[in-house]
Amino acid sequence: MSPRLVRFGLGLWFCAIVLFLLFPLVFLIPLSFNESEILSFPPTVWSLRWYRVLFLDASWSNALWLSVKIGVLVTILSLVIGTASALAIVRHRLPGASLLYGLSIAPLIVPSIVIALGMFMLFARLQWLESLTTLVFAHTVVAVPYVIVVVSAALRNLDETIERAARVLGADPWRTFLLVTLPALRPAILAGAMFAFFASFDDLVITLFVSGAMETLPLRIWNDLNLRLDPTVAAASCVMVAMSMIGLGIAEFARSAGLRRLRMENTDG
Amino acid sequence: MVAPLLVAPLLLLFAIFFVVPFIEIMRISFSGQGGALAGATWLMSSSLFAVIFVNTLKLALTVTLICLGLGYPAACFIAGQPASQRGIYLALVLLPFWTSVLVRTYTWALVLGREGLLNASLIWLGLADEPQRFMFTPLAVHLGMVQILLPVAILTLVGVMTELDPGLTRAARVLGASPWRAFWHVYLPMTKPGIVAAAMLLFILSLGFYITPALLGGPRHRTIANLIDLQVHQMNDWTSASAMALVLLATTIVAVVLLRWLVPDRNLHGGAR
Repeated sequence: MSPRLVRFGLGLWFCAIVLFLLFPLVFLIPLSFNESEILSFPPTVWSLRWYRVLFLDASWSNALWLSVKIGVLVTILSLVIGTASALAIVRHRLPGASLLYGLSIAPLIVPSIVIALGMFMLFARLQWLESLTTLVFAHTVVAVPYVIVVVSAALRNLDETIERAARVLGADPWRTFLLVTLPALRPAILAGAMFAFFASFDDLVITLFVSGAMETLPLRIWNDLNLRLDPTVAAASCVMVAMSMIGLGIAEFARSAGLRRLRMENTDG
Repeated sequence: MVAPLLVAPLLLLFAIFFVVPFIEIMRISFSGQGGALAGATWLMSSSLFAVIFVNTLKLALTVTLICLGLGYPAACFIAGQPASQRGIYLALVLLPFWTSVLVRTYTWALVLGREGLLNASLIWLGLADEPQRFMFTPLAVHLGMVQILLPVAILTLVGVMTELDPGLTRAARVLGASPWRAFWHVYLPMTKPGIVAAAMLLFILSLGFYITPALLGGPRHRTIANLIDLQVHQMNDWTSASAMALVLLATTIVAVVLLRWLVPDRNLHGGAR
């Protein structure tokens, strides 16, 4: 076995894996443009029929709109809460900082069905179910860990002496944060925002337990799947895939731009 | 001090939406209609729970092993690329990773269904006379879960592999070891922390799977998560659901503690998500 043959074999293996990972997504796109009621492959007549249903039919467009609305609110909340916590954990040498960090990422490790069940039983008693506020806070619990992970990693890589220099030169802590720390954290915050938005936008399990009759897009899809395979689901799925691709693109761009700037600053110094 | 003020919103959010719901689970599982041990008694006596618990563990284990087997060579390939090109290959893995789990599961239902792509191709190729049943089989659940978790395996393994010193494997080769010996005695042992970390992570994530087994496995291939949902939404039995949630949580915690104990901290940072 020559090394070149090994490398070729690994390359072939990798291609097969990528095909397996991407195949269902590639298969979905032509299906969503199929005129037919039955999900047949390949489509015979192409049309935008199911996209029209998705955007014009009230039950679908309301679900899409509700998901976007919740996603935006969750993102804003997560950014504020997450960035503040990351600052406290990394910069302020809080007692028990590592314990706090562990707690803050716990919602990613605890199965979401457990979180969902606990919320459902508690909020049923408090009569908090079926409220937009509850749903937004519930999603924020699983979204904020991403912001904390990304922002605290960026903070650890950020040279603290720059902030100290600003303080020595007379800036108060708030000015230092706004003019020095925040601009340096912008890429991480943007990436965190994308992760937080999709944690909320994609969530099904928690929504299934606490939303009551309110239908988000994943819940609308879920309710439809249990009845029949409606082609509108294919169109809705394509919209979700397109959105995550754009989001991932933005997050990756922000992250690599941040890394590049960090590298430049390091070589300059 | 500013620091306590900065973490106060997080602590408040987690108290109301994470800690208190968890206490509620404990409270209900130990104080149901049937007394303090109603939940525990249900767990011990329910044959359904026993079967589904064992099935969930088995499913998590096989999915973990399949993901590691498929992912290891793929991760080797990515780690072997020059650093400047790794990003492109990683993007191909990240793309499906960031797609909704619900959407990815749904597409498998389309592929494996009675009139799905797989059956249509089998009949067109003449390999089958009539549609075969792929949905609601263990095969469907495994396919769906492996597709969802494989990127996690690859990303975790790549994180560990890119930090290795390639000089050590090269030294083994220069000193006369065959490529296989160099791999088996040098490279593989060096990646062991990564394998263990990935395995534990995959196992933890598989334990709580709800969507994929529900859609692709149907009623005959339920996991604990599906059974919890069933007890709450169909049977209206919160006590047994809470008891099961505690078992699921305890299993997860054991896995996390094992992970912390088996893998030194620094190897966990290249991890997924």
